[in-house]
Amino acid sequence: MYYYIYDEFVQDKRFEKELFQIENRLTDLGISGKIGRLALFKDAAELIRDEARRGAKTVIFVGNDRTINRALKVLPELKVTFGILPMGEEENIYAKILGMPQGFAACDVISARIIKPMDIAKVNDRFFLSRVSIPNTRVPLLCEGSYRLAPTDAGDIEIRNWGRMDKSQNCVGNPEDGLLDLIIEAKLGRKKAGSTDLKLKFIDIRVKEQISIHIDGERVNGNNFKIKIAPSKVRWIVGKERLF
Amino acid sequence: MFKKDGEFAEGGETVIARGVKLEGDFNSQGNVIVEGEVSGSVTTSSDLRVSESAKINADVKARNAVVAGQISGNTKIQDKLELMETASIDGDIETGVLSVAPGARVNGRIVMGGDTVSEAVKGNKKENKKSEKNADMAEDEI
Repeated sequence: MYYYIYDEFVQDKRFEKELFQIENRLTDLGISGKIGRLALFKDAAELIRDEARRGAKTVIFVGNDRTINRALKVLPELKVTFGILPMGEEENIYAKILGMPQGFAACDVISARIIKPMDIAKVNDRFFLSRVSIPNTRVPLLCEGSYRLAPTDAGDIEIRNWGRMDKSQNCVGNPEDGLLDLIIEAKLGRKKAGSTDLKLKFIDIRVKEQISIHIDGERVNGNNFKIKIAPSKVRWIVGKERLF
Repeated sequence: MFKKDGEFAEGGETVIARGVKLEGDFNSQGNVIVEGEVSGSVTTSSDLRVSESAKINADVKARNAVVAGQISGNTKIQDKLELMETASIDGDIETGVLSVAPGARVNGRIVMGGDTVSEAVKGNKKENKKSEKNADMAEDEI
C-alpha cells in the first residue's frame, strides 16, 4: 500500500493541474494510494507512523528536501520503503542524488521500484541525510575514540553522509558506504592549506565554550556533539540516474 | 601500490593535509597520505606517503611507504620503503627493501629483510581489528 505525503506548498492552486496529471498517472500505473496533507502544525512523522501502523509499505514525499527533513526522525524506525516525488522550484538535492526526475516523470521511476538501503546519520538525537558543517573553526574532533584531529590555524569542517552537489552537479559523498566522510579545508593565514579527507564511523566534539554547527543548513548551538552513522538503515526508491 | 612518481595508483585514500594536526593512534586499512602534523602512531595495512611538508612524531607501520617529510619515531615497512631527497628519519627502520635518494637523512638503526618485518604487518592487522571493534560498538548504539 502506498501513502503519499503532500507538502503544504504543493497544495497551492498553481500545482493543481500538475498534481491532477500525477495522480492520474499513478492510478494508471496501479500505485495510487492514500494521501496525507501537511499543514503548519501537522507532524509529518506522526502521520507516517499512523499510516505504517495501518499497513502502508511505501511512503512517497511529494515536495522537496524540506518535506523529507520534516519527517527524518521516523525514517529509521519503520520497516517502510521511502521515495520522493520532487515538485516546486526549491532545492531538491535529495531527489537529484536519488535520481528522481521532477514531477510527472517521477511516477514511472517510483513504479519501477529500484530499492536501495541507504545510510542515515545522527547528531546527538537528531537525524540528518546530507551533511554537518562547521565553518572557520579550530575545534578538535575526536575520531572513532582513538585520535584527535584539528586545523592548526583555522579551517572549514564538513561531515558528509549523502553529501552534497558540487559545482559540476556531481554528488560528493557516498550514501551507501556505511561511513561518514570528514573533510577539513584547512587554511594557513589567509591561504588554503589543503584538503583533509577521511572516512569514519563516528566523531565526537566536546568543547568548553558553545559552538555553532550547521545540520543540513540549520544552525544548532552546543558543547557536545556525537555524530555517527547507521549503515543501510533506510530503504529508498531510486532512479537509474542516481548519483551514486 | 604506488605509481612510479610515488602517487597512489587508485583514488579513495585518506589524506591528512597541511594545516591539520592529528594526535593519537591512527589506524587505517587503505592508502594514507600525510602532509600535515601527526603525533602518536600511524598504522596502515596499505601504502603510506609522507609528503615534504609532513612532520610525524610517531611510530609508523605500513605495507609500502614513500617518505619525503620528517619522521621522528620507529618505522616498520613490510615491503618497500623509499626515502626521497628531502626525507629525514630520526628512529629505527625495519623494511623489506630500502631505497635512499641522495640527500635523505637517517639517524637510527636499519634492519632489512623479509623476516624482520612480517611482525609489522601482523601488528597492523591486530590494531585495525581493534579500531574496527570500537567503531562497531558505537554503531550498535544508534
